[in-house]
Amino acid sequence: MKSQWLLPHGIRLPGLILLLPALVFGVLVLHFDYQIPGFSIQIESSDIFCGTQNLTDELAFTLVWFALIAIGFSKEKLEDEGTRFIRLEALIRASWIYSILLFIVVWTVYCDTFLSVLIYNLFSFLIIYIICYEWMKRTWRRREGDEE
Amino acid sequence: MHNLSQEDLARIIGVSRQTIHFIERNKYVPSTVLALKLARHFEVMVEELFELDKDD
Repeated sequence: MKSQWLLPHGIRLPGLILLLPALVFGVLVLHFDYQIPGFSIQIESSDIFCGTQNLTDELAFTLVWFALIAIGFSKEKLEDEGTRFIRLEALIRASWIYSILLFIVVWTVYCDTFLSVLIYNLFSFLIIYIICYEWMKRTWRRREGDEE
Repeated sequence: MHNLSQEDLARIIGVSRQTIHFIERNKYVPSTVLALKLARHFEVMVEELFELDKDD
Protein backbone atom coordinates (compact mmCIF):
# COMPACT_ATOMS: atom_id res chain seq x y z
CA MET A 1 0.00 0.00 0.00
CA LYS A 2 1.62 3.24 -1.12
CA SER A 3 1.37 6.50 0.79
CA GLN A 4 -0.57 9.09 -1.08
CA TRP A 5 -0.76 12.82 -0.47
CA LEU A 6 2.74 12.99 0.99
CA LEU A 7 5.64 14.97 -0.41
CA PRO A 8 9.07 13.46 -1.13
CA HIS A 9 11.35 13.03 1.90
CA GLY A 10 13.91 15.40 0.40
CA ILE A 11 11.64 18.41 0.83
CA ARG A 12 11.70 18.15 4.63
CA LEU A 13 15.16 19.69 5.08
CA PRO A 14 14.39 22.84 3.02
CA GLY A 15 11.23 23.17 5.13
CA LEU A 16 13.19 22.95 8.37
CA ILE A 17 15.78 25.46 7.15
CA LEU A 18 13.11 27.87 5.95
CA LEU A 19 10.85 27.71 9.01
CA LEU A 20 12.68 30.03 11.41
CA PRO A 21 13.45 32.84 8.89
CA ALA A 22 9.89 32.56 7.57
CA LEU A 23 8.44 32.90 11.09
CA VAL A 24 10.66 35.91 11.82
CA PHE A 25 9.61 37.47 8.51
CA GLY A 26 5.95 36.76 9.36
CA VAL A 27 6.25 38.43 12.78
CA LEU A 28 7.91 41.48 11.16
CA VAL A 29 5.02 41.75 8.70
CA LEU A 30 2.29 41.11 11.26
CA HIS A 31 3.50 43.16 14.21
CA PHE A 32 5.82 45.77 12.67
CA ASP A 33 3.92 46.34 9.40
CA TYR A 34 7.02 45.62 7.37
CA GLN A 35 6.42 45.84 3.63
CA ILE A 36 8.89 45.20 0.84
CA PRO A 37 9.04 48.50 -1.07
CA GLY A 38 7.61 48.21 -4.57
CA PHE A 39 6.49 44.61 -4.07
CA SER A 40 2.94 45.42 -5.03
CA ILE A 41 0.41 45.10 -7.81
CA GLN A 42 -2.20 47.52 -9.05
CA ILE A 43 -5.68 46.03 -9.20
CA GLU A 44 -8.97 47.71 -9.84
CA SER A 45 -10.74 48.25 -6.49
CA SER A 46 -13.49 45.78 -5.68
CA ASP A 47 -14.91 43.93 -2.69
CA ILE A 48 -11.73 41.86 -2.30
CA PHE A 49 -9.06 44.16 -3.73
CA CYS A 50 -8.26 47.70 -2.65
CA GLY A 51 -6.34 49.30 -5.49
CA THR A 52 -2.62 48.99 -4.89
CA GLN A 53 -1.97 45.74 -3.11
CA ASN A 54 1.39 45.14 -1.43
CA LEU A 55 2.16 41.42 -1.53
CA THR A 56 4.61 41.21 1.40
CA ASP A 57 2.08 39.57 3.70
CA GLU A 58 1.14 37.07 0.99
CA LEU A 59 4.83 36.23 0.61
CA ALA A 60 5.23 35.80 4.38
CA PHE A 61 2.18 33.54 4.49
CA THR A 62 3.48 31.45 1.58
CA LEU A 63 6.92 30.96 3.15
CA VAL A 64 5.53 29.88 6.54
CA TRP A 65 2.88 27.72 4.85
CA PHE A 66 5.46 26.00 2.63
CA ALA A 67 7.82 25.36 5.56
CA LEU A 68 5.06 23.83 7.70
CA ILE A 69 3.64 21.72 4.85
CA ALA A 70 7.15 20.47 3.97
CA ILE A 71 7.83 19.49 7.59
CA GLY A 72 4.42 18.00 8.34
CA PHE A 73 3.63 16.22 5.12
CA SER A 74 6.90 14.95 3.72
CA LYS A 75 7.59 11.23 3.82
CA GLU A 76 9.89 9.68 6.38
CA LYS A 77 13.01 7.96 5.05
CA LEU A 78 11.05 4.75 5.40
CA GLU A 79 7.37 5.58 5.27
CA ASP A 80 5.48 2.44 6.25
CA GLU A 81 2.15 1.60 7.79
CA GLY A 82 3.51 2.13 11.30
CA THR A 83 4.30 5.72 10.33
CA ARG A 84 0.85 6.11 8.78
CA PHE A 85 -0.68 4.86 12.02
CA ILE A 86 1.22 7.55 13.95
CA ARG A 87 0.16 10.19 11.40
CA LEU A 88 -3.49 9.22 11.78
CA GLU A 89 -3.31 9.32 15.58
CA ALA A 90 -1.52 12.68 15.44
CA LEU A 91 -4.17 14.08 13.06
CA ILE A 92 -6.99 13.00 15.39
CA ARG A 93 -5.24 14.46 18.44
CA ALA A 94 -4.42 17.67 16.58
CA SER A 95 -8.05 18.01 15.47
CA TRP A 96 -9.24 17.69 19.07
CA ILE A 97 -6.68 20.12 20.47
CA TYR A 98 -7.33 22.62 17.67
CA SER A 99 -11.11 22.43 18.12
CA ILE A 100 -10.92 22.89 21.89
CA LEU A 101 -8.48 25.82 21.58
CA LEU A 102 -10.72 27.43 18.95
CA PHE A 103 -13.73 27.05 21.22
CA ILE A 104 -11.85 28.65 24.12
CA VAL A 105 -10.60 31.52 21.92
CA VAL A 106 -14.08 32.29 20.55
CA TRP A 107 -15.42 32.67 24.09
CA THR A 108 -12.49 34.48 25.67
CA VAL A 109 -10.90 36.76 23.06
CA TYR A 110 -12.65 39.79 21.61
CA CYS A 111 -12.18 42.86 19.39
CA ASP A 112 -8.88 43.43 17.54
CA THR A 113 -7.10 40.73 19.51
CA PHE A 114 -9.54 38.21 18.06
CA LEU A 115 -8.47 39.22 14.54
CA SER A 116 -4.81 38.74 15.47
CA VAL A 117 -5.67 35.32 16.85
CA LEU A 118 -7.46 34.46 13.61
CA ILE A 119 -4.28 35.27 11.68
CA TYR A 120 -2.26 32.94 13.91
CA ASN A 121 -5.07 30.46 13.50
CA LEU A 122 -4.15 30.14 9.82
CA PHE A 123 -1.20 28.03 10.91
CA SER A 124 -2.25 26.67 14.28
CA PHE A 125 -3.64 23.37 12.99
CA LEU A 126 -0.48 22.57 11.03
CA ILE A 127 1.71 23.51 14.00
CA ILE A 128 -0.34 21.42 16.44
CA TYR A 129 -0.28 18.47 14.02
CA ILE A 130 3.51 18.68 13.61
CA ILE A 131 4.02 18.84 17.40
CA CYS A 132 1.67 15.86 17.96
CA TYR A 133 3.30 13.82 15.20
CA GLU A 134 6.89 14.49 16.26
CA TRP A 135 6.03 13.91 19.92
CA MET A 136 4.30 10.58 19.17
CA LYS A 137 7.16 9.50 16.90
CA ARG A 138 9.67 10.16 19.64
CA THR A 139 7.46 8.46 22.25
CA TRP A 140 7.32 5.32 20.07
CA ARG A 141 11.08 5.34 19.69
CA ARG A 142 11.63 5.90 23.42
CA ARG A 143 9.23 3.09 24.33
CA GLU A 144 10.98 0.85 21.84
CA GLY A 145 14.32 1.67 23.49
CA ASP A 146 12.92 1.17 27.02
CA GLU A 147 11.52 -2.26 26.19
CA GLU A 148 14.77 -3.57 24.72
CA MET B 1 11.50 -18.29 14.42
CA HIS B 2 13.98 -18.37 11.51
CA ASN B 3 16.58 -16.73 13.79
CA LEU B 4 16.07 -13.28 12.25
CA SER B 5 16.68 -9.97 13.95
CA GLN B 6 13.92 -7.33 13.88
CA GLU B 7 16.20 -5.28 11.65
CA ASP B 8 16.60 -8.11 9.13
CA LEU B 9 12.90 -8.94 9.08
CA ALA B 10 11.97 -5.26 8.70
CA ARG B 11 14.35 -4.95 5.75
CA ILE B 12 13.02 -8.08 4.07
CA ILE B 13 9.38 -7.09 4.50
CA GLY B 14 9.99 -3.41 3.68
CA VAL B 15 8.85 -1.75 6.89
CA SER B 16 10.64 0.00 9.74
CA ARG B 17 12.13 -1.89 12.68
CA GLN B 18 9.78 0.06 14.94
CA THR B 19 6.76 -1.40 13.18
CA ILE B 20 8.04 -4.97 13.64
CA HIS B 21 8.88 -4.21 17.27
CA PHE B 22 5.39 -2.93 18.08
CA ILE B 23 3.69 -5.79 16.25
CA GLU B 24 5.74 -8.23 18.35
CA ARG B 25 4.81 -6.35 21.51
CA ASN B 26 1.13 -6.50 20.49
CA LYS B 27 0.93 -2.70 20.45
CA TYR B 28 0.17 -2.33 16.78
CA VAL B 29 -2.18 -4.42 14.66
CA PRO B 30 -0.70 -4.80 11.16
CA SER B 31 -2.70 -4.36 7.99
CA THR B 32 -3.88 -7.40 6.07
CA VAL B 33 -1.19 -6.78 3.46
CA LEU B 34 1.59 -6.75 6.06
CA ALA B 35 0.16 -9.78 7.85
CA LEU B 36 0.09 -11.67 4.52
CA LYS B 37 3.65 -10.60 3.73
CA LEU B 38 4.85 -11.86 7.11
CA ALA B 39 2.98 -15.14 6.69
CA ARG B 40 4.40 -15.61 3.21
CA HIS B 41 7.90 -14.93 4.45
CA PHE B 42 7.63 -17.48 7.25
CA GLU B 43 5.70 -19.89 5.00
CA VAL B 44 2.84 -20.26 7.45
CA MET B 45 -0.85 -19.38 7.52
CA VAL B 46 -1.72 -15.91 8.83
CA GLU B 47 -3.65 -17.54 11.68
CA GLU B 48 -0.45 -19.16 12.87
CA LEU B 49 1.14 -15.73 13.31
CA PHE B 50 -1.84 -13.73 14.53
CA GLU B 51 -4.95 -14.51 16.50
CA LEU B 52 -7.94 -12.57 17.71
CA ASP B 53 -7.87 -11.22 21.26
CA LYS B 54 -10.78 -12.15 23.44
CA ASP B 55 -11.91 -8.51 23.22
CA ASP B 56 -11.94 -8.50 19.39
